[in-house]
Amino acid sequence: MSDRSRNRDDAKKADPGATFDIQMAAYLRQMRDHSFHRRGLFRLAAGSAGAAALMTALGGPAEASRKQFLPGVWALRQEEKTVTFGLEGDVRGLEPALSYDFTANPVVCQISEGLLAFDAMGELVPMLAETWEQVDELTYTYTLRQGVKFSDGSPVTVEDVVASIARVRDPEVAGPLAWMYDTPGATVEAVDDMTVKITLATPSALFRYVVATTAGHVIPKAQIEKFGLDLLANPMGSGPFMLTSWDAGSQIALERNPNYWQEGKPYFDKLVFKIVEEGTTRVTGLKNDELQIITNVPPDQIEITKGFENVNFYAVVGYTINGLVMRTDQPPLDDVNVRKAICHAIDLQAIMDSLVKDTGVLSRNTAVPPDMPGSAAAELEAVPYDLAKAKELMAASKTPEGFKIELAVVAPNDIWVPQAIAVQEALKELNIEVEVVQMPYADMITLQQSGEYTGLMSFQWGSDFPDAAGNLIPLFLSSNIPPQNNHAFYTNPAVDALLNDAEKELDQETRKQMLIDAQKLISDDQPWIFFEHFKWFMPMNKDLTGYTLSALWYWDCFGRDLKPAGA
Amino acid sequence: MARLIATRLLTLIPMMLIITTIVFFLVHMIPGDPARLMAGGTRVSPANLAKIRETYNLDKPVVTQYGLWLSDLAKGDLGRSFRQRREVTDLIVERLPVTVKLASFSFLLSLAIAIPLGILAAVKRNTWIDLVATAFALVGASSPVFFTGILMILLFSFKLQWLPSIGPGEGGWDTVVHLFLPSLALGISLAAITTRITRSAMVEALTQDYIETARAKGLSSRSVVFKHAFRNALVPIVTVAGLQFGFLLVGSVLVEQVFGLGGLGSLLIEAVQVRDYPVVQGATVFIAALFILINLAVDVAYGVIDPRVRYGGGA
Amino acid sequence: MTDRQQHPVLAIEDLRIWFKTRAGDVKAVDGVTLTIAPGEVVGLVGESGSGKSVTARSIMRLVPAPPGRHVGGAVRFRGQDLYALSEGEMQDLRGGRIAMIFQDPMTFLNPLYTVGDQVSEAILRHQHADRKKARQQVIDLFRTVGIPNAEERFDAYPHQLSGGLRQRVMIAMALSSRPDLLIADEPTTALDVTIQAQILVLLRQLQAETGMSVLLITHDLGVVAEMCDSVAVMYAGQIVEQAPVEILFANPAHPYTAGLMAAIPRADDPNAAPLPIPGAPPDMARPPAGCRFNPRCPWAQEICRTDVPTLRDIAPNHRSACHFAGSQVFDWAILSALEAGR
Repeated sequence: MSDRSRNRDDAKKADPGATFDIQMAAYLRQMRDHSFHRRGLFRLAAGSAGAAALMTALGGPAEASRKQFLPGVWALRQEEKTVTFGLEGDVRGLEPALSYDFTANPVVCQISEGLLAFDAMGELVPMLAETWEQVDELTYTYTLRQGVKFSDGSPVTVEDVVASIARVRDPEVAGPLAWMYDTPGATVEAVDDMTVKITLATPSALFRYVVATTAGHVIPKAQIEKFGLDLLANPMGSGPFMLTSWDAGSQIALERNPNYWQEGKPYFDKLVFKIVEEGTTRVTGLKNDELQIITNVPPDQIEITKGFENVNFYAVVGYTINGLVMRTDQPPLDDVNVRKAICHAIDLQAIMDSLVKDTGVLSRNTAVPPDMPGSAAAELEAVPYDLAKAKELMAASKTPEGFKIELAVVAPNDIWVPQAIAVQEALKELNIEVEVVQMPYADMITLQQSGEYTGLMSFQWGSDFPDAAGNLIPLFLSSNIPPQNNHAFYTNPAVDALLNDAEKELDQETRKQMLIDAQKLISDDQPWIFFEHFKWFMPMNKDLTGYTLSALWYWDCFGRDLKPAGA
Repeated sequence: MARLIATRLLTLIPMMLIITTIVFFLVHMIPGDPARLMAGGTRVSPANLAKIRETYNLDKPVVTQYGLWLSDLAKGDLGRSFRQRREVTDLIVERLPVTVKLASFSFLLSLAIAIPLGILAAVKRNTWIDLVATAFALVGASSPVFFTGILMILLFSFKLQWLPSIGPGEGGWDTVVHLFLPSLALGISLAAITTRITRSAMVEALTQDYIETARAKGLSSRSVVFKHAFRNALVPIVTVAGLQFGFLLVGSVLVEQVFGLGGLGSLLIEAVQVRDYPVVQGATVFIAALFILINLAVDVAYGVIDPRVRYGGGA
Repeated sequence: MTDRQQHPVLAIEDLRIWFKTRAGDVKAVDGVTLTIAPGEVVGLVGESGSGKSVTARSIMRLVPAPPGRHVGGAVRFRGQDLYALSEGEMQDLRGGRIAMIFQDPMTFLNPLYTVGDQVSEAILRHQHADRKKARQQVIDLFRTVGIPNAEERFDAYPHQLSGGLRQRVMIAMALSSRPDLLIADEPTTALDVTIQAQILVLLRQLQAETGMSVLLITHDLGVVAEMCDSVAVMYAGQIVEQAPVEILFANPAHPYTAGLMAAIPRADDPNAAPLPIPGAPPDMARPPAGCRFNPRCPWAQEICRTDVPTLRDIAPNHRSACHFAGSQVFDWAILSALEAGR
């Protein structure tokens, strides 16, 4: 049984290495929800049939000419070697310690760099650390690359590394990434001029990835000391670009770092980030060449954007899951027969075909997408739609006559709300009366943290790290019940044991098998209705190349590798 | 006249005090924990949360917080944003130029549309011209401004590719080009109301007796309409226009969001959403003061237009 | 007819001005014939609703074109049919050779401009003058019409002046371009009695000095007696009698005129009750058949209900539109009625 009253410190001790991705995922979710939510505000005009239909009518895909306006915007940009990126919302601050969302990250990751980075496949590659080693289950060492300078010409030293990590954890800063170091109880020290050692209090298989996120970015100690709390407006790093100007609320302009340590990069002289909250405007900007890269395309405008002559529409399945959680600790959903009956009564494929379409891939009854290391997707399959079987299971359950429950969902949203309604319809067949409770994003957060929802709840999650544990631990470890993110209140000692052991296991293959076994157990218990692994989109002007969209794009320094097609 | 201005300026302070008090307590009543929102995320250590609350006085009773804020305000200090850690004053000053430019441009465009249309409708009242003008007024007033804005983008940026749709531009002519569509979207919404007011004020003025005298003097229609009638119609027009300009300062937030302009409106709305109390309070104080000053300007304008106000009473 | 009368300043011939309303056409002016000789002061009297104000305005074509319209007849100013002119030519005449003053100088002056400005406007419109000269002219005009402190008063606003002063301003405005014809629509009705007298005196004085013709519209027979050379009586959109003033008062030749006389309180016998004319003016959308006065006329005969009487001469310069006017019996009947009333 879950024990909500258990105090957090106990939780930390009892569950070593737990909860790494909670923050990131929650924040990712927040930001995605927020932008969906905000986008939903304009749904009347831009959503559904609205803008999409208008755009098609006004000549979407067939638009052959790249008519420019006074003078040709992209032509001018190319001359000036400038690329413009359309951000989906405002940026709060530009220091890495505060950078944990879809608007700050794209900017910060061009200015500063981490000890390591992720490649397109999610593998760790050296960045400011030339080599690194996990000495034992608690100790990691990183050897700094020599000769790297910050944009002001000062050298990158081990003191800077120590100061940067301290900054991430600084309670005055109250940054959202502190838990990445605090939870495993990390100690950071400079061993010599070239080496940094991090020692954990408890082992954590995911810690290796931390320094490839913004939590591992290195910024000058001198800059931290000089600006203090105003650092967020005065960023500096060793990255390919540096801050030129920041017009609050409208645009952030970066220019190339003359002291960048990688020869011949970046290609472009300027990188401009424009804040464009309205999805339709971002899409229009892309068509017009006012913007060359955007993120977060409104679902109903995806087809149209794909049809733009001047755009390559990049998409990648994220390390994500969208579904409905079920309260496994309370009747009537505490009965596994009921939960399985519910899943069989829902036609997941139909939902995919008509509601989700190209924005995600159907989940094979697990929270871990197929390409995520440690995924059990190959050995599982989505619950088949079988109404007869569903009724059979209901009859065998503790509540064969049906019941009434609530379904909480964030509204407005073009996908989640229709999904909720589809479920409501489907469950009528089992005499289950579902009351769909729509609420704004802020109320949903309150509900989730309080742990007071009953019945079903629409929930989305994305991992910080390229590892199945990044989804499994926060969502299914029994100690991570609300205010953490195990909203199903799922408790299975066998699963707990597997997840905890996997944290300590050094052998990658063994570890993966443990995670796969955990997923199979979870699948049998069916604590969720798993819908889809949603995709990330990044349409880009055809004249740009050099960067491949990855599932962890929010940690990527795409500006470094961008160059004109044919250059 | 001077006395009028002086009295109005004196009422500025108590009025602002009342407004900001109301706003302060309203904002603090909205559920939602600014400390948690500031920390950004559902997982913050209790120690950190406590530290945040202490730093920003969130652990004190609301009335104490109010008192502290008020005493800072008296020194001209609007505090620091919870979210961005920057001075509220700086945030406002940064965003002000775009808002002022957008508001002014929209205001001028709306007048440029509404006044000629209203005069035309009044002079040709009950003809088809009047019908068209009134219909336009109805459509403009009914369309939500973000809808009009998106329509503008789809037509002029997406389809025709005549005008940009993002951002306020680099200054000078570039800014004029970039602000044209958002100002037009806002301007049309406002123009609707102004057109109606202009029309009815002009109709009212044109039925006055002194218009007959003007005609009897042999003055041309143009002179009669513009010199004699229009100036009399100005008082209600100026009233409505003044109110609209005040509305523009914050009401432009939807247009700001659609077109990616970073103005005062977005600042305020976003601050409310994340419970950034200092920004909400500071921005409200600022906007309230501006609004009062605008109303003062309207009153002064009455004095300029109507000598009966200036010299007091009729015989 | 004298030579002056052969070349009248103004000749209205059978003028008809109708108004389109939901109830049908209101025949406000329905066959008005009137002449004004040079230098003559003609009074136009009638009850409210008789059509006298519309007549006045239709001389200068100031009647708003919808809903009013010119259905027939002519208005000849110095021989020229004004209804054949273009609007531009009309505007040249208005305020120039024909001028008009109105009833309530408070509402008829624009409150937002100074009185000097408004009078200058008239001067600048019709004469080649610059602002300085116009200003001087206005000040002189103010003096002429009896406004004290003329220089300061130039910059006054209408609400800062008394009723009498405002009316003097109106008069100055009308006279600024030395019109041949002044139309005065109830110029003293809105003023205090003492001021009324002053304004009338002023008007008489100015008329004598300039020799202009005046059409004085009023419902007040006392004003007529003081000011006018000849009088036209209007009833239900038509002129029913026209005569020099002494003759009209001595020998009214129409039952309506007699009725009007009897309705005046008498200075020489304050105790005698005035006799109002029984009945009410007709609905101008559907006026009575035959003589329009017949429902209220004590001597109405069968013919009055069927035949429309024409305005005809019954004596030199004396016209009446009654079937029986001019007959001795009729004259005797009217005079007796008047005596009885006295």
